Amino acid sequence: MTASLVDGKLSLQADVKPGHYLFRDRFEFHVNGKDVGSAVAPKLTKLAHDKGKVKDDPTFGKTTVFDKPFVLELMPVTTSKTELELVFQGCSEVAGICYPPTKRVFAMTAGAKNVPAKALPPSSLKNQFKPQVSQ
Amino acid sequence: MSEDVAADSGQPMTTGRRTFILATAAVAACGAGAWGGHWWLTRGAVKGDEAKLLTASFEALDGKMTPVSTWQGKTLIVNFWATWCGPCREEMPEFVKAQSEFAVKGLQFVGIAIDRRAPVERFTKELAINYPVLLGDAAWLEAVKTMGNPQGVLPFTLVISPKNEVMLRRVGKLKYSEIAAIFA
Repeated sequence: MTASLVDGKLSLQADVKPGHYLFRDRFEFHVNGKDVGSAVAPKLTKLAHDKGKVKDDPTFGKTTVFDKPFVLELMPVTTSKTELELVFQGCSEVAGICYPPTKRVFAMTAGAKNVPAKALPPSSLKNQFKPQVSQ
Repeated sequence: MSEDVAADSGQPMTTGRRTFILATAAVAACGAGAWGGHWWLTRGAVKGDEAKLLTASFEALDGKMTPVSTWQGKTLIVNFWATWCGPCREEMPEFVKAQSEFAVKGLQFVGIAIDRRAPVERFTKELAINYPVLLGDAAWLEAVKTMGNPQGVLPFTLVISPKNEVMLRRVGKLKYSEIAAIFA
């Protein structure tokens, strides 16, 4: 997963491997420390809602997943330095497992393309779960 | 294992043959381990976070704190799962069947849901889960990393004997047939 900041436009590039998928509704974004919502927030992203694949989940009904590489065009930003923090969650159909919510942080300056995530110190998963898991 | 093979064959064992059998056994062990996760952790007395798990208490769906030690003395199958985990939900009907079938032989399933209460309640009702389901803190996904699940993924299942020995660790789905084999 990489992020770019070109012409004031923030975008996220995700390379989803065959046999894996990410839940569209489980993305959470923070831009420069501000919670800007999820991938389903229409003001946040130009992600076309017809993109992705609809899975008919026996518990949750129709759920949109990304099972191929995709790009999210996020909100425009005016600052030259931008930090994007995102949380995402997905599963591997080939391995028959699901991954816990995962956090990635990207630090970018204007014009940066395909910036990889910063290395993060190991942290408790508890902070990565807040909207979905609350105990 | 190699001694058993030699005894069964009725043939004297040469050094070369013994080496071959040991090498084959080692490869088989590695293969079995790779299939099931951490082969070097496959069996043995509980320790570390596993021991902590067996003495921990979790909130049950009725709101009461329930210690896992409630089921001490049973063959305990602890299944970490979540409603947002498709493979977890897929294996649970087999757990329901196994619980019905082998309860008389001392099997006790305990589900630990790393999830919110509402979807867990809904799902356990829909599926008529016939074993206790407890609510686990997300921090348990950190703890399971030392139990043979280094990525902290779901589903993850531990089978623990009445003597508190780990009989099986499984990252990914556990089949009814594997459970049945334990009680065969």
